[in-house]
Amino acid sequence: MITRRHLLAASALLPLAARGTPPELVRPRGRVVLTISGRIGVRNAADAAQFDMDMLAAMRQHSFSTHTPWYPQAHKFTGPLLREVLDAVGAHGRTLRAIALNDYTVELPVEDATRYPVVLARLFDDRPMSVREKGPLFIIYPFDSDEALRSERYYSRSAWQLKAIDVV
Amino acid sequence: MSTLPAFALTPALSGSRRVGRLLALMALTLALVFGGIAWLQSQSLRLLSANVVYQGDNLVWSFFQLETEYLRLRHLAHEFVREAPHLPAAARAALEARLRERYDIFVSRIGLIDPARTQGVMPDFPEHHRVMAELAAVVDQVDRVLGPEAPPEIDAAALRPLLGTIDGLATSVRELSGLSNRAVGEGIVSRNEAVRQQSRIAIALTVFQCLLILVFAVIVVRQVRALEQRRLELEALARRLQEARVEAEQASRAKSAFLANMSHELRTPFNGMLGMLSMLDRSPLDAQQREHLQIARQSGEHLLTILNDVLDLSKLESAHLDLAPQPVDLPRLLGEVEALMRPQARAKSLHFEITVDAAVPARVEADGKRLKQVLFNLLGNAIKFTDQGRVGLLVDTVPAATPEASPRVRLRVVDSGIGMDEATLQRLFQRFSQGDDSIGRRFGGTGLGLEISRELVRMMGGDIQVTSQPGVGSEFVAVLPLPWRVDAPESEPEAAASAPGPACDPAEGTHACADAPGPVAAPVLPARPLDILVTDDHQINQKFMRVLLESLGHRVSLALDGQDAFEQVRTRTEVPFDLVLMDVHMPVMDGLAATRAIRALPSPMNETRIVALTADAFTEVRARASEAGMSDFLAKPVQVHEVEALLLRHFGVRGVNRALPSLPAPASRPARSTRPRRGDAGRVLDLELISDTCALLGVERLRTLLQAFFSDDSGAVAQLLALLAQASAEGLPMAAHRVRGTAATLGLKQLAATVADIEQHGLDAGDPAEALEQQLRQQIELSWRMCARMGWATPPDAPA
Repeated sequence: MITRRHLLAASALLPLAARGTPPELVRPRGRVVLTISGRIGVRNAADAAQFDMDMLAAMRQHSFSTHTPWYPQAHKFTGPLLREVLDAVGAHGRTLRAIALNDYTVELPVEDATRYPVVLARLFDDRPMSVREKGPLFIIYPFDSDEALRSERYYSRSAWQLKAIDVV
Repeated sequence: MSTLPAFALTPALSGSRRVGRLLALMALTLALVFGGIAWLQSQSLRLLSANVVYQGDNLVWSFFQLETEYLRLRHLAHEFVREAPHLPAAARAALEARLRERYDIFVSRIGLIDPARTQGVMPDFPEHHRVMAELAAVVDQVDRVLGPEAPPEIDAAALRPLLGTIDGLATSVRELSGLSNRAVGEGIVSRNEAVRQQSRIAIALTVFQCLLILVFAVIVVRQVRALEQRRLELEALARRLQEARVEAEQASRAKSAFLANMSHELRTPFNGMLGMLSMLDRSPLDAQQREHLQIARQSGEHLLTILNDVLDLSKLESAHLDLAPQPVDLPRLLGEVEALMRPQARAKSLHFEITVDAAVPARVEADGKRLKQVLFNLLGNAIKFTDQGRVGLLVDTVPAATPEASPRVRLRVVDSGIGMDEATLQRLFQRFSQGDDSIGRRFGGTGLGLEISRELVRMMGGDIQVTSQPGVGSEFVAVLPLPWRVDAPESEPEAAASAPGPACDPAEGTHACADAPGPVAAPVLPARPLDILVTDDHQINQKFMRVLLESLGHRVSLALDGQDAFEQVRTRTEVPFDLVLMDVHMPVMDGLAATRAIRALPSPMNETRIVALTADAFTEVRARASEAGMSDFLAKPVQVHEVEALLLRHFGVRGVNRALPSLPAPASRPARSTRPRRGDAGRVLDLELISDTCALLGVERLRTLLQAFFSDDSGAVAQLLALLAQASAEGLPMAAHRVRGTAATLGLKQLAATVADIEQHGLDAGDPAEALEQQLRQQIELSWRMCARMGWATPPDAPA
């Protein structure tokens, strides 16, 4: 559920983040779906920034349709841009270590997030994703927009069943 | 000959065809090789693409991940069933969440190994389908407890019986992992095999390429060798051609030298022969001897004409003939032509006429000698081929081609002769052509004249055209661009110097003869005769020159060769020679070397005037002569008037002084008792009458008449003398009458008076007949000499 307070907090947070001033990050009220740790400037837990699904949904949403190696057809993915999530936590590392529910870990450069509109997808064809459906979060590159992205390198960086990001 | 080029051509042609085929073959092979390489590259690319298609998490990873998640799930499920009943509510809820998550992860993994996804990279194994069905069945059962539709609280009792089912999957899941491993292994093997195969093809193609390059290299080497061979052959050929050219040039030079030599060799004896014949003609001869002599002279002159034709032709061919245009008095030139041609026409009883249009300029720029040669040839032919009727020369003008140029002069030679048909006209100007063969036999001649004439006219910038009709006559038309001369009187002496005409004014030059506007001979002044050294290796020539020069009143020394001449010039220090006539070709030392030697002597001997004397008419001989230091050039056979002109040119009046030499005459010379003395002229000749006759007839005709009288063509004088010698009174008056009439007409005053006396008184006059005869002979000779001095006759001097 997106509450009014969340929305206000998120909208107040964005311009501040852009100016580099460490903003306040609200505490998650629901189940934590993403934990960002490491070299970050904003925390709402002991040594990490935690997000519940409402917090992510309160951020500016971005969506596109693309083909992926995991589905025969193109599907629509919706969620906040990875770079804006990183801005929200004041991340200042070079590399992101994405960790999935099954402890699968993959490294991707921060540059990917700034160069491409990489989405931290929370909706698959406008529906939330269950764990069975590679949810709840899925790092999706816009594969259809750039030929260079359609390679094993970027397919492997697209971590699904994402649960945490460690900024290194 | 014709087989040679064909023979040379065949290998070249077949060679080029072979090379063409070879090139086509090479192109085809190259195309095949590169096509093969391209195919190989595309195959490699396809293999790589197969790797790319091998999407997402790799296959084996997915299978093993499934197994891992299965084991985790199984472990957690056992833990939950074992621990849950004993746990407090919060811990149990956390464990339930973990178990659900674990189960969801496991289920999400099953979709990833669906045969529909893996069929692109691994073969379709039946076991795969079986295990998938098994998994689906298990998930169906477990979902009732752990699935999204199950109650939130997990019923451990309900899960317990499912543990066995879950455990039962272990073998199948393991089998699936093994299956994927096998599939990947096989894939790797087949891909390796494909790569190996491609490598083999690539190696084969590379080897083939190497071979191909080797073949090309061999071909290139062969081609280069062939080219080198060909180049060497061409070089050799060029060398041979060069040698041949040098040989040909040498041969040509040898020919020229031979021709020059021959011309010299031929002209020298001719000079002597004709000269001697002239001399002989002046001596007393009987009628038959005279006739024989006449025939000999004509033959000689004809031969000389032919020789000149041949020489002209060779000069024209070797481009040695140069025109020397100078101001020419056209009416006078035509008069000279007429003087020569009219007697020939008269001899054939032809009407001969020269008509000159009023518009024709009097003075033009032309090579008079060559123009006369052309007219002589055309008129000579016309007379030769006309048996009755007329021969005419019509001179008029035609407008110039451009407004700036002078109008052209047209010379038309018209005859009423045998004419020519079309075929003959075609061959007319060809060398040695003489109408037809019968004409050659009938009329003689070299057949070179017309060709020479046309060449000369063309050199002058004009051309000769012919129209003719058999039996009616022919017309030869020469049109010449002769530049007109509007002369100031100053140019007169120049013309005079080059063509000194005989004086018409018998007295002291009060008025000139109208028909002969040549130079008026300057008053004959007493002057020292010239000392002349004649150098010639030919004795006849020497003798002829000596007689000729002495008759002109000069002192003559002789030299046999250049060395001799040089010695004589060197040793004559007190009174150096005025003139050396130097033959060019001589043994021991030739004329050129002698001239150079003389020019190297100290003054004043080195200033001696030297004139080349040669039968060579080539311009280059002239050039060499003037190079050697010779001042002038006298062509052989020597003509009297040319010698006079030469002397006049170099010594003025002194050169043609015919006064008695102050030195005693050499022994070889005849007695000079009848030599004319200054002042005698008026006593011996009726100058007024002669002047009138000259004005009326022209000097040439007067000259002809006087010469005829002195040569006694009619024999009247001889008859009179014979009668006197016999002291025969019978017929004497009649004979004297004939001689008197002619003598009086010709203005031989003294002679006419004497003969009139004889006519009137016969032998009764008192003087003995013998004395009369002697007196008459002396008077004839005196008159002759007087006339000769005036330029109206050739002097009677003859070698002893």
